[in-house]
Order: sequence, then structure tokens, then C-alpha cells
Amino acid sequence: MTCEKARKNIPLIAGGELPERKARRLRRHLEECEVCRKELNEFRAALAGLRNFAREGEQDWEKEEWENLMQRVIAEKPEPRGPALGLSTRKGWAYGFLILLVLGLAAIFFQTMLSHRNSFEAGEKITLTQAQPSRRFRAEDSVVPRVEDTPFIARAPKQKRPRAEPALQAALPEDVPAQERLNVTLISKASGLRVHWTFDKNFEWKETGR
Amino acid sequence: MIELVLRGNAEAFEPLVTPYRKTILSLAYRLSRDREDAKEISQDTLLRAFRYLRTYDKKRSFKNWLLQILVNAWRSRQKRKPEAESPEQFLPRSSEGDPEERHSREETRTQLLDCLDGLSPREKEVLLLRDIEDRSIKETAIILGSSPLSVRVHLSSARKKLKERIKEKFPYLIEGRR
Repeated sequence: MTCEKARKNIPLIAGGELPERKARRLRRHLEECEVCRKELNEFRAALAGLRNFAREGEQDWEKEEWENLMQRVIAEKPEPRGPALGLSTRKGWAYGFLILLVLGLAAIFFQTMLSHRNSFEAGEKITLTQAQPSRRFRAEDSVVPRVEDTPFIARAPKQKRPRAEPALQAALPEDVPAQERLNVTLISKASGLRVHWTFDKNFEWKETGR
Repeated sequence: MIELVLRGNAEAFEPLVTPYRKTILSLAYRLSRDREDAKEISQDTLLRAFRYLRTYDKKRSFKNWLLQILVNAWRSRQKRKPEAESPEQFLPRSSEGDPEERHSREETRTQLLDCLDGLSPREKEVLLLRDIEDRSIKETAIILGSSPLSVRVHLSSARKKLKERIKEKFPYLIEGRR
């Protein structure tokens, strides 16, 4: 340990407040360094002098003064709860802030939950419509799955199917056979927007909307 | 005793605080360096202690709780009141020994306490609680509402300043003579 570092720790070792590990290193240094040892002795002497003189001059109350004070004190009414240490205001602010934070987080959480629910309700419904069979094929030759057999179909309102047909026909060339087409219509409940997807056999698609 | 006071026996408060009456007044005086201020701070401390006794945590030391109230009372008073122009000092009470020697010691004591005036308020609080009232670092930190690390830092700087002042004003104390 250097003298410079030792000087930083001497005020604390003089009163025994230095952690043991540091104190051990400092003591090793003090054994070798007379200047630092002298410095430590000066600190100890100064503290001892202050303690002796300060404790000798301890103040006391006059008997009458003390009695009057006690009379005044006990005439007070004790509070059920209160800021004896002057800390309750700070604690109050801290608790208030915590409550606001919790309420804020709860509000954000519920808002998120609600918006998820709304988006589900007002979201698009996917309808899968069966394409009209091509003139070159008979209906029974078609391998397009029936609407009822498709597990992911939400709803296929009959009255909406004819409206989608012109768009489907425009999307793919007319010579594509029906069994090679798959038509999907997305209808937004909120805006009424319809999106038609027509997939060919390679699942390449074209989109038309109206 | 605390239970008695809380149950409505206000008279029990006096024997509860009597063991600390000197400590309270002395610390208040060392902090404020003014007799009247010291009495008012002590009075405020005891009033607050009685009023809020119900909030006292019985796991804690009662003396430390009182000292904490006292330090807070001193801080509040410092905020309200500007620096005293001519502090009124306590006169020596003891009548034992040679009057001349008594006077000389009283003079030295006053000047030693004057050395504390060069410290910052926090350094003063830390030094008085640790070195005069013999509170541990942890207790001092709790009383002052700070961390043990902060107490160590302030204690170290307070002792350095104090040692330099004592060395300058009272070299005989440092050399071990009286």
C-alpha cells in the first residue's frame, strides 16, 4: 500500500470503521511507515481530546425547566399515526406514485385486451367459394373440395357468391379449369371492403378488390 | 413503559425519556451551538416523540429513534431560521475543582466545539453521532436517513478537517499533553 492510499484510510482506522481486509493491509503499511504512523496517532489524539472535552461538558436541564417541559409535553394529544420522523410525506408520495403506476399498467393491459377482442370481432372473415366448373369439364370431374368439407371455412354466405364471380373470372385466364382454381374472399366487417383471391394450381394468386 | 403511555397513562412518558434528557439537550446544543436553540430543538423532539409514539417500531432502539427525531427537528429549524448572529452558550455548571482550571477547560471545550463549525451540516451530524454519541456506522446511517457508505465518506472528511483544526489550535492535545 502506498502512503497516499494509506492517508485516505487513516481517518477511518482511527475510529475502527475500516473493513478488516483494508485494515490488515493498512496495518502492514503502518508497521513500515513512520510518517503514516504519526498521522494515525494524531487522528487518535484529536478524537480522544474531542470526546473527553465534549462528554465532560454534557448539558442538563434545570429541574424546573424539565418539569415544565414535561407538563407541556403530556398536555399534548398523541396522534394515532403521523410523521414523527418527517418521512411520511416522502412515503406518501412514493405510495401514491406506485398506485398510479399500477393503475396505469392495468389500464394499458385492459385496453390491449379490449382492442384484441374488437379486432377479432370486426376482423375479416375468410370465405372460401367454390369456382364454377369449366365448360370443358363436368361438375362431377371437379376435384375442388366441397365447401362443407373444408375445416377452415368460417362462413360462405350464398348471396355473396355471385358478386365475387366477375372478379374471379378476371383474375385468371378463362381456360384454367375449375379444379385448378381456389377462390378466397375476405370481407371486412368494419369497412365493407372485399378482397378476392384466386389461386391457380401453383398457388400463385391475383388480387382484385371492390 | 411505552405501552403504558400508549394506553393513556401520559405520566409514564417522563420516566421513559428521563434517561435521555442530557443526551438530547447536549446533542441539540452541539448541533446548534446556541443554548436557546438547543432547548427549543429538544422540546420539539420530546413533543414529537410523545405525539407520534404510536409509530415507534419496538424492534428499534428507543434512543436512536429519539436521536433521529432530534436530527430532523434540527434540520427543520435550520431551514426556517437563518444563521444565529451571536450564539448564546451554556455556562459551566460544575463547581468542583480549581475555578481557574475549570474556566480554562470550559474555554477549551468551547473552542473545540467551535472547530465543528467548519464542517458541513452532514459532516457535523455524522461526527457527533459516531464520535461523541458512539453510534455505530449502521445506526448513524439509519438516524440520518443515509447509507453506511455515505456515513463513512462524511466521517472521513469530517475527521480530516477536525484534526487539522485541532492541530492548529490545540497542538498540545495532539502531542498528548493537557
